[in-house]
Formats: sequence, C-alpha cells, structure tokens
Amino acid sequence: MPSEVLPDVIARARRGDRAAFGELYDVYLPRAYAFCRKYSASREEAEDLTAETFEKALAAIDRYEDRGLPFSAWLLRIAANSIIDRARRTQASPLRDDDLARLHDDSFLAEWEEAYWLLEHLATLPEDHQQVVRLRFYEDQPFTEVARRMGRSEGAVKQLLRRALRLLRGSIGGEDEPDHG
Amino acid sequence: MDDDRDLDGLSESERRLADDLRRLAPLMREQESVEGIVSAGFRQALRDHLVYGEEVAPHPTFARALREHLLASRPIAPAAPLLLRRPVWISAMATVIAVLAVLLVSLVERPARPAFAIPRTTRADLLFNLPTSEILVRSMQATVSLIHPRPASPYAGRLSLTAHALPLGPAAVAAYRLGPPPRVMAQVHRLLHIHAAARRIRIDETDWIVAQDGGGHSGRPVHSLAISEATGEVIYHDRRNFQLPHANHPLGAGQAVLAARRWLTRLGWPGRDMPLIGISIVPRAPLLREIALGWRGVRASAIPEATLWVAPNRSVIEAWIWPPVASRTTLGAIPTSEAWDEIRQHAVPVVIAAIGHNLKVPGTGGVAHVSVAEILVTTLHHGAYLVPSYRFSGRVLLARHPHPATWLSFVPSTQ
Repeated sequence: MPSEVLPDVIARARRGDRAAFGELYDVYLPRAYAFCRKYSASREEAEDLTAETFEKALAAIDRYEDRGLPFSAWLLRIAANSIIDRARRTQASPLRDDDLARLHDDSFLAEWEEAYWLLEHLATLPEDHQQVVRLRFYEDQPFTEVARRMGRSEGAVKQLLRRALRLLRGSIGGEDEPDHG
Repeated sequence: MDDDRDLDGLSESERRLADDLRRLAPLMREQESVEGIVSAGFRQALRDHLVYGEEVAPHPTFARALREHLLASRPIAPAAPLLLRRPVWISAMATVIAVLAVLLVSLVERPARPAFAIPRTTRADLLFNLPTSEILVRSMQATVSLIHPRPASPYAGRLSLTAHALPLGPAAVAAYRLGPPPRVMAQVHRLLHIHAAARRIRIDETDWIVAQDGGGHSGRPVHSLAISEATGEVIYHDRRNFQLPHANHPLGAGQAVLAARRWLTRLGWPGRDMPLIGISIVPRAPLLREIALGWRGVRASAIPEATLWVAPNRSVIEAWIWPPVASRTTLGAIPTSEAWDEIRQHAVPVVIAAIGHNLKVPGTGGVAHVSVAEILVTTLHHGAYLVPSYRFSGRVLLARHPHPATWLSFVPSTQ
C-alpha cells in the first residue's frame, strides 16, 4: 500500500512528540476530511467528524503498531468508526445501508485510500494527460470516442495515454508500489 | 469496447497501473465529486489544538455542541399562570436592561480588547506594500521573488500635495494575523518534484528553508522552493518551462486562473475559494499570465495572498505566496484627516509610479482617492499580519515633465 510518511515520524509521534503528530496531520488531513465529507450531510458535520478522528488518533497513537497496516488505513478505520457511531446516535443520518456495510469493510477502506492516492498523483499531470485518463478509464470510452472528444487522431490519443501512464508511473515512483499480491 | 492491449510500448508496471486505474475509477470518480477542500481556518484551528493543545479558535466539536445546546436541546420551562408570569417578566426585563446598560457603559468607556496585538508598522513595511518599479533580475536567488524583487523607493524630491474635503473614514477596521509557515517542504518532492534536500540558510537575520535543483554551475535550470521561517513567505521558481519554443500565445485567462487555483490547492492553500483580484500579462514576458488571488474574507489588500506566473503549457513557473489568515480582530480607526497629516508632515513615504529612482525635481498635486486596504507587516519572530491602512493616491505634476504622474502612500489607520 502507498505510504507517504517516514516511519520515524510515526515513531516520534508514538513517543508523544506533538510536532511529529502535526506532520502526520498535515499529510493525512485532506484525505481524512474528504472521507468524512463523503459520509456527512454538511461541511460542518464533516469538520466535526474529522476533528473527532484526529483527537482519537492522538489519544491512541502510542498503541498504533505497524503490522502491515499502513497508518492511513488505521486513521480511516478510526474515521469510519466515528461516522458509524454518529449515524447510530443521529436519527436523520445521511447513510444508507450499503454505506454502512462499506464502512465496516477494511478492504473497502484500503481501496478508498489507494484511489485517493492515485487521484492525488493524477492531479499533478498536465491537463490533457488528465483528460485522456479520465475519458479512457473513468468514462470507459473507446479510443475512437476519446479521439473525437479531444479533437485529436486516435494515434495521437494513444500516444498521449502512453505518456500519461508513464508520467503517472514516474510520479508514483518515489513511493511504495501498491501491493497487488 | 477496445482494450489497452494495442497500447504497445508500455512496461509491465504501466500496464498494472492502467488496470488499477480501471479498477479504482468508480471510487476516484466518487472522491472527485466530494467537496473535499478543507477550509484554512478549520485546518489551522484543529492543528493548533492537536499540536499545541490550545483553543486558538473555538474547537469545532465544542462549538457545535454548545450551539446545539443553546438552540435546540435546552429544556423549555412550563408556562406559569398569567398573574404569576407578569412580575417575573418585569423582573427579567429589568435585569436585561441593567446588564445592557453596564455593557454599554463599558463599551463607551473602553474600546473592545483586540484578539491580538498588531505590530508597529515601520517605514520599510510601508515601502514593501507600495508598487515597485519594474526591474530586470540578473541572477536568480531562491529567496528573491521575481514578482516582487525589492521594496518601492520613496520619491526623493519635494512634493506639495493638497487635499480638499477628505472623507471621514470608518469607525472601526479589521486586522488579521497570518498562519505559521506552511508545511509544504516535507512533501516538496511529491508535490513539486524538487529532488534536492531542504536546507536552512540565514539572510538578514531571517531563517529560510530552501530546496533547490539546478542553478549555479550545474548547467540545469533553477527549480526551487524557499519558505521564510519568520513570516511564512513562500517563493517558488521553475525555469524549466520559462521558454517554450512552440508557444505563440499566452494561455487563455480562464485556463490560467484554473491552473493557478489547482496548483495552490495541491500545495494546501484554499485555491478554489481565494478571490481573484487580478489577471495580467507579465511585463517583458508576453507569453506568461500573472494571476493574483487574495485572502478569503479580506476586502482589499495591498499585496495578494498568492501571485503566480502561468506558462502556456499550464505550468506555474513563478509563485509568491503568503500563509492564509489565522485570526481576525477589530480595532478603532483614526479619521482620514489625521492620517493625511502624516503625509503632509513627511512622516510616511510617498512613491510615484513609473518614474526613475533618482528623480528629485519638485512637484505639485492633490488627493484624488482615499480607501482602506490591508498592508502586509512582517516581524522577525511573530509572523506576518495584515494591518488596516488608508491608501491615498492622486495625480502630481513634476517640474520639467509634461504629463502628470500618479502618487501613492499608505498610512496605518488604527488608533
């Protein structure tokens, strides 16, 4: 799984170093917030849930152990539990049954984290490279349609997609490769 | 539906990446549809709470709980019979009136205590906020912005300026404290693809954290990020895309703004929400767009929160950025006539736009416009602030010059 924080930062945070926890916060706040926002009715509720997630993480960080479970997955598990607890306490919860099922499923959290990580890297590519990836993979369009929508030849679009995949691969290169095992 | 097998030339890892993109596409689509930008105020308040254990702003959970308690869940007392209720009502009204009277007296006698102390504005601060003349930077340094390479120069000649019927000015003005230096450097490789390790350097008593690829004797173009530890000022250079041989036109204005907003968002600024305050072409670089974005919630500032140069290929090649606002306070304001006295008595510098630095001829002119704008004031140890000031401007006729020029001056407007 992707990892963006050096183990020594986590180790320092576990020893009670608040500045190190601040570094973890800086890295993981956007994805924790986006996750909470997905399962909240409002921005305010998402902020509450995010604050609750990091407070619980701070209280429990000394008990975190890296047993193959990345820190981000551990954090998202805390966020998911907070969302589930909130839904139980609130009668007007925006969550559906399939949302709740997803939130209980660790493999879903791992996929969510992996998708977010890819999305962050995709956003670093030039605009036309992002567009070709979106049309081809998000919208599942055939090359002929991608070429028509982008106003380019089919060959040029394939070339662009090759370059986009190469750049994306290069962007990800500095980090751990997602485990497909 | 065709597949990607005819995409020859892909490595095994690139093919696996294509498979991952296809597998994760539904989730990525979901994530993109979420309004996932964290507000700067919330980000900073929660960080301060977690790292420093301080309640800099009301903690969101606490604030929400308090609001719910006050607005919704407070039990309502059962109604009393009318005859019993009237004396209670009169007594309650008397109490409210007494409390209001005490509050009113205390407000009249003493101005509200500001949330933080604003630093003293120096002559250097005032010059820093005035427009600087266009100059050519010959050697690029990581800690010197091409966008604002040096402060303005005060006009050296004698000016005789007059003012008729100045507006009174507001009774109260807002000041802002900016947040701490942004935590961008820890991710500089991932976010900006700068590979060099960050190092600390000291320039004029200010510590900077700098990461720089290229430049010097390397023969490679400069690609650098510098962050002032004192003020949070961020300077970014990327000369790799400075000259694009196939580009003939600058990027469309809308696309340039979008590129600037995306770049800022990636670095952790609230790029989507920052107000757009200027789009222009960079002087002497007709292919570059300059995009200026202001602080959210701040009406007018002399210096934008972020100024970026965007190349025709959408890449940001130069950026000058300040941290978002961390807190705000309200202060009493002096009248404009008092501020005008500062200009008349030469207590504050006046600059004249677009003239040579060594011109010293006398000139005469008047005030044409007075407004309130926040000026950026920096300190060595306590960060940066936006301090409310009066911005005076007008036209001046200089001796031996056929055309009038524009003069400008800032005077702090707080009591």
